[in-house]
Formats: sequence, structure tokens, C-alpha cells
Amino acid sequence: MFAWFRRLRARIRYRSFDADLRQEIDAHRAMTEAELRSRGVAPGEARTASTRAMGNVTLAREEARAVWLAPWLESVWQDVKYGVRALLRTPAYTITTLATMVIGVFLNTAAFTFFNTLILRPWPVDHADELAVLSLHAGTAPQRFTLDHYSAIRTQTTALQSVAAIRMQWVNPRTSPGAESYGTSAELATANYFDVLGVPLTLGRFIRADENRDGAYERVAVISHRLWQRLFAGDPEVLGKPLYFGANAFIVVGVARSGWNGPVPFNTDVWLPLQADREISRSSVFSEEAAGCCISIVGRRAPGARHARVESELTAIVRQNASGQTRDWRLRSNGTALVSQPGTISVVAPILMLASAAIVILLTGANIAHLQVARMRSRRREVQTRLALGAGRWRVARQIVTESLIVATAAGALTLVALFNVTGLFVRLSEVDLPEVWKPDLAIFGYCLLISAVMAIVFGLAPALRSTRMSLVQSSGATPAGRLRFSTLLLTTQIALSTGLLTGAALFTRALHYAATAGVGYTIDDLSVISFSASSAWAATTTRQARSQAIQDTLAAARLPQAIVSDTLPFGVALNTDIRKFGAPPRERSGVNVTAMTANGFAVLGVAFVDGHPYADRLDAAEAVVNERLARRMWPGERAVGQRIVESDTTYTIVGVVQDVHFVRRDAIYPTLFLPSGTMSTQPGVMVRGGHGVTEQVRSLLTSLDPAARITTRTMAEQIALRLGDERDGAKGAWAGGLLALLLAAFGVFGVFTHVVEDRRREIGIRLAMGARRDQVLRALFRSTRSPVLGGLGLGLLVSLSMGPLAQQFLYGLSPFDPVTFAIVAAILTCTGLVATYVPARRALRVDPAVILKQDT
Amino acid sequence: MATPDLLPGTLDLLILRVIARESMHGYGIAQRLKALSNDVLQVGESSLYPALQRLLLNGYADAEWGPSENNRKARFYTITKAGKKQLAAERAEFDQLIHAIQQVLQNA
Repeated sequence: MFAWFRRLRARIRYRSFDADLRQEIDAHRAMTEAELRSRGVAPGEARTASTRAMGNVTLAREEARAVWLAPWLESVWQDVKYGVRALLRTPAYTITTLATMVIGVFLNTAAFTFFNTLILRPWPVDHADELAVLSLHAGTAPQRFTLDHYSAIRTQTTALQSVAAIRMQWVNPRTSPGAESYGTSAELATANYFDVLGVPLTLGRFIRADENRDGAYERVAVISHRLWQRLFAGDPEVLGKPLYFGANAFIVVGVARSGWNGPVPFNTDVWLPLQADREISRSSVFSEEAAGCCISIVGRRAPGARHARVESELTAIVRQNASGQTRDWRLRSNGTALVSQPGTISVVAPILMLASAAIVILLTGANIAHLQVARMRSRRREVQTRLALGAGRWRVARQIVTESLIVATAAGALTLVALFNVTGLFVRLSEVDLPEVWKPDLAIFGYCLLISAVMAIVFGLAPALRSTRMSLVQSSGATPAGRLRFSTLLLTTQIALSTGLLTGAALFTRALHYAATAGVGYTIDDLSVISFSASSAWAATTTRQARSQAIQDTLAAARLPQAIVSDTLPFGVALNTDIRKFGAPPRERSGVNVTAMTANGFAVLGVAFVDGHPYADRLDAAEAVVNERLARRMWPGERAVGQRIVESDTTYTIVGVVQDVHFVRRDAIYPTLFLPSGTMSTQPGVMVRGGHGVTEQVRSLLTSLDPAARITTRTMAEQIALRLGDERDGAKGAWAGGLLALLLAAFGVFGVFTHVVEDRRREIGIRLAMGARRDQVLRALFRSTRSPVLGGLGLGLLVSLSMGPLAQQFLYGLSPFDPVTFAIVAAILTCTGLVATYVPARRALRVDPAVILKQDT
Repeated sequence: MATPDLLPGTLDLLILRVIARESMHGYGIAQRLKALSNDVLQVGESSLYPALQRLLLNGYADAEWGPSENNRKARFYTITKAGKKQLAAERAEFDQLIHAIQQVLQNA
């Protein structure tokens, strides 16, 4: 035992061990030389003679080293060679185990990647450990920083060497006024932001201090590497080109380093001067009402300044610079990784992740153990023979575990390849925009290999030890019933789980289809949406009201009463505004959604009036319509018609209330204000009812108005489908998860059934020899997996049915008991179950009964 | 000069016996074996060092670096408690074996 430890130590400290040996033998040679010289041999001669006397020094060293290391290494090598041969002899087992492991390790590693990227990893910037993400708290309640806080901290701090203020905004940049917009987030920051973070630029420079002066700023923008590739196709001449936010052009002055897309969730693509918030944001941080709220502050700590020092210093600064109720205010300074920012993530997420990872490991492991047990049963003779020939039990068990380790290593390697390639492929196929930080790193590499090795050892060792147990009666008995009952339970759970997941995925997909075709509150069958971007030539010479009017006039002249001119297209970019009751103070304003379209829209779409009538199609009439939801919110218990509201300095009279229908999202109806077309600062578009011919007619009319305009035509269903992009990605994810779970369950059925068949080979042989028909035997075998498959299916469907009502709100009105969905899932599972059982059963039936019966064990 | 083949395991025993008197380095051990056996036993490095490593591995000897008699850095081998026990046991066994061999040679 001690020798084993000494051997291990020599292996671990191999370098120093080898150096000792080399030095020692060298000393020996030197002593021989010294002795020769003392006997009067010439120095040069002595050296040669001593070397000659020593003989083959390398061989001597090799042999001395062999005492410690070689037998150990060689037996492992032997195990590996033998293991690979054994695995190649049983390709079905090898492939199944490998596939099971790859799925298990892949799911687990994917979960870890998510966890690692979102929660554990600091921001991908230089010396991220020196950064301090500041947050403000009054007691336990989170508070927001204002511009005053920022300037006080900036001028007084010594614990931070630099500090920057940032404000995050959702923006829709486009490369030209008519181009398709690209929704992303922007960080409006002080000029030192990238210096504080230590983010280098690929091209150009960051915003300069003189471009972010109080009240006077330059329209400059820094873009992410990703946006550079996407909007500018990586154009090296991008600097100096414009990027439009609304009507205003910002000049691109820099491109950030690839991989930096802002903090979690890594979706920032644009950086603008903080002062530009005045025009980017609807409620600017510089407005009177905002009182400088709200911004985020991030700083770089001075050398040697710990977070605690930053906190105490800045807390004092904040308390002393703000008036009134700030006595219990505390400032916290945290690292950039989410895990180090208490309160930003709930404990539930990591626990859920760990739990799901554990479940995946357990299921995968159980499946592997089954396959392993079945394999060991079929190799009983081999193992018994080796034991009988004198191999130690531990030695044979080690051989078997080595086989699992080989599979695990292969599985780990395949998973890594999958992570690097398949993830990218999936991203490309599904067109999901994953930020660059989602790439696997070394931590993930290590985790992946660790998980596969642990699985191999834990789930390979038990069957290995079991099968090498020396027992005289062992060979005759079949697997104890208790073991199989446990397997049945596990299998049932797996099948129930995959049934549940698949039902969810199928239901969700059906719901998306349903959402895009029905249930918005009006008929969309023959409705088309035509978006219209005026050419810069026409836009330069007309106002938007004039353009809207021109389109209305053209359509009216062409006698197209079923065409609606609208400033906001349904299920497109949502327009929001603030309104207040007439006479109420400005601070009582509240946000609403706006739809601006010609008054015929209500009739053409089929949106019924609950009260009142449509507005007049003139801006100077200042009439508006609200939906029931807004009416209820603004004037609960009162009649809305006749009331007055103020929207950006215009007072409107409410003349009608319409029923609630979906205009912006399929899953929500917002309080909506309807105004005549031409009131909003957006490009007008057209909605038209009628077939393809009518749509084309409108299109040609629009083209005749402005030949250079960009016109896109979509059916309403297509328009809604575009809006459901995220939900579609979600459904794809659900399918991927469900199918993986199904595959795992199928391998589980396969493993257990292989096990059962191996157990009953003798019985099968006897039955066949006695004249049973193969199909009879097959039916008898099927019976053994019937209960977990049907039980799991039943249980899964039952759980899905009972959970259905909870999912109602995501189904866009589709019934959670949709029979088509359940039929599809049941069919998929039954087929999978049959295939997974048929393959091993057929193998058992192919064997000649005489051969089975001749095997004495 | 040809060195007679040693009985297997004998070299380990001889080395143990040599270092049982005092700590010695490899070269010293070889010299001592040669001197004590009147130049009959000339142990080559390719058998001396594996033997020493075997002793270390089994815990019969400890090795430590130290200065040699002419101030060269050398590795000194010291017998351990387990080594002494092993030496005693093997010596008894060896005596018995030699006695048995001689019996056979003389009386056959």
C-alpha cells in the first residue's frame, strides 16, 4: 500500500524524480573519473574511460526508472488497448453509450455554459477585477443614481481612480433614413467610459470629452464589432459614415473590440454621448422632471483600494451631497460578474439550473448503468474465465472501468466539438443572435471533461464490481426483480418527462401558428400591410402630414375605401406617448400606446365601437378614440366620450371608445389611443383589405407618388409572424429540449430492454427450441417494456393536461387540451418506444437456439 | 573481468548489508562491494541503480542528498527500520538456501 503511494508520488513529481536519478548517475561517473585520475590516468583519457566504464547511462537510468513507473504505465496502456478492442467488437453498445453520454454531457455543459457566461464570468474587459459596479440602497430598497451623485463621486473620490456614468436605452439605428431598422440597446456614456473599462477599439476612437459637453454635444457614435459586421458588412471605411436614430444622423467615430457588447445580457451595440440622451430618450435624464435620474455608475478602483473602502468613502460622499432622507443610504461596490452583485439574480435560477443538471446526469447515468449491466451479463464468461485464470478482481474491474473511461473521453471530446460547431450551426440555422461572449472557454472545457469522467467512473464502477464478484450461484440467477422495478420507475419518469416537454413544444408551436392566423379580434385573412419609406428626395420637400395627406388623396381618387393609411403598422414598431387628463399637472401623465390611422380603419378592420363614433380625418379637429382598456384606466366608472386629454401640447377630445383588440402584440392588449393619420413622426404605411390584386394596385399607386420609395408588402399573417420571432426561437428551443429528452428516454428503453433480453436469452432459446414462433416470443418480450412506455406516456400526458391551464396565457387563445397536439406526441413516443425495443429483440431472436442453450451459464 | 551471476535478489540483500553499517552513496556501495568481495563482485550501474530504486520503493532505504568525502554532491542511502527487518529475514533465508545448496552439492 505504501509502495503504491510512493509510486504515485514518483509519478506526480516525475520531473524532480527523473532529475535526481540523472544527477546521481552523473555523480557516479564523476567519481569514477576522479578515481581514474588519482591513479594517474590523463584527464581527457580519464573522462573517456569513466564513460566507457559506465556503459549505457541512458539504459541504466531507464532501468532504474522502470522499477517505479513502467509496470504501472504499461498495464494501463494494456487496459486501454484491450478496452478499445472490446468496444469495437460491440459497436451497438459503444454507439448507444457514446450517444447517451454525449447528450447528457452536452445538456449539462450547455447549462453550465449558460451559468458561467451569465453569472460567473466577469465582463470581458482588461483587468475586470479592478472594476467596481456601484449600486445605491436605502435600507434594503434599491435606489437609483442621479447625475448629482455622479458628479459628487467623480470630484471627491480617492478610492476610485476613474468613474463613468452610463444610461442604457433601446434604440433602432439604421444606416439610411429609409433602411430597415435594427433594434438593439445603446449605452449613453460619459467620454471616459471605455478608458474606465479598458476596452480597446478595433477602429477609430471613443467619444471625446468635448463631444459630451453640458448641453452641447456632437452627434457621434461608437458601434460594436457585431453591428459593424451586420450593418456595414465590416466596411473598413466605416468611420465618418452616418447612423440614423430617428431622423438624426450620428457619425460613426469608432468600432469597439470584437467581443465587447456591454454588460449582461451582452446586447449593446451602440455607444453615444450621454448628453445625446436629450434626443434619444423620450424622458431624458436631463429633463426638468427627471431631476437627473437615472444613471448607472461604474468605476475602476485605485491600486490597493478594496471594495469596502470604496463603499465607505462613497457612502459618505452620497450622504453628504444629497439632502433630506439619505441617512440610511448605503452605497455598494461590487465586481462585474453577476454572482458578485447581490440582489441582481435570484437564488432560484442557480438552484433550478443545478437541479436540472443533476436530473440530466442521473437519467444519463442510469441509462449508461443499464447498458453496462447488460454488457457485463453478455461478457460473464469472459470475466469468469479471466478470474478463474488468476486475475485479481480489482484488476478485472479496472479493465472494465477503463472501458467506460475510454467512452467518456470520446464523449467529452465529441461534446466539445459539438459545443464549438453545433452551437454555431444552431445559431446560424435559427438565426438567433448570440453575442460573441457565448463562446466556450477553458472553464467549460474542464467542466465538460470532468462531468464525463465522473459519469464514467460512478456509473461504470458499480456494474464492474458487481460482475466481478466471485460467486458460485451468480451465473445462474437472473437480475433480481427489485433492480428492474427501479429501472422501470426511472424509465417511466424519463418517458413522462419527455412526453411533457414534447407536449409543451408541440402546443407552443401550434399556438404560434394559431396566433399568426386567428384570434386578434378582427379578421386578418385578406388583410395586407404595406410599409412605405419615402425617398429622401420626397421627404426633403414635404412634411409628414403632407405625405400622409397625399397618400390618402391618391387612394381616395382611386376609389379604394378599403385602404387604411396608418402612421403605425400593426405588429410593427410600437409607438408610445405620454398623455394626461386636460387640466391635470404634467407629473400625472402616463404612458399609452398610439395607433394613428385614417378613420375608415375601424370599419375596414372590423373594430366595433362600444360608445361614440370615429374621429374626423383632420388634424385640426383634434379628436381621438380610445380603447376600452384606456377608458377604464383614465375614467373608471365615467363616460370617456366627451373627455379631453393632452398629448404633447395638443388637447384632444375623446369622441369614441372601441373594443379591445390586438394591435401591437399577440399576447397583450395595451391601453391605446387612436389618432388620425399624420400625427406621428413616422413613415406612413397602408393597410388594405382585399386580395393580391388590390394590394398590387395600392403598391403601384404608392410607386407613382414616389418612384424611389422603399415599399414592402406583407400579409397580416406574415406581419404577425415577424413579431413572433422571439416566441419562435423559444418554440425551437422547446423542441430541441424535448427531442433530446426523447432521445435520452429512447436510449433508456433500449438499454433496459437490452438488459432484459440478455437476462432472458436462455428462456428465449428454450421457447424457440420448444417450437414457439418468433413473433410470439417477440410479443412476450415487448410485454416487459410495455408498462414503462405506456405508463410514462400516460403520466406525461396527464401532467401536461393538468399543467395546461397554467400555460393558457402563452397559447394566444389555443385550447391547452388541443387534441391534435396530444395525438402527435403520443404517436412520436409510441414509435420511439417500439423502435428502441425492436432492435435488441431482433438481435436476440436471430441467434440460433442451439448456440444459446449450449452456453452453460 | 567477468562477474559471476548473482542469485536473484541477492544484490538487494548485499546492498542492504553494506548500508546497514553506515549511509553511503551509490559509487561508495559499488566500491565497497568490490573491495569486500576481493574484486569478484563488480556491480554495474545498470543493476546497481535499479536495485537501489527497488529498495526505495519498498521502503527499505531512504535517500538524501549530501556532500561526499571529496565534497561532491552525492545521494546517500540509509537503511530504514523496515530495511533492517528485511535484512535479518533475508539473511536467515539466504543462509538456509546456501546451506541447502551445499548439502545437495556435497552429498549427491
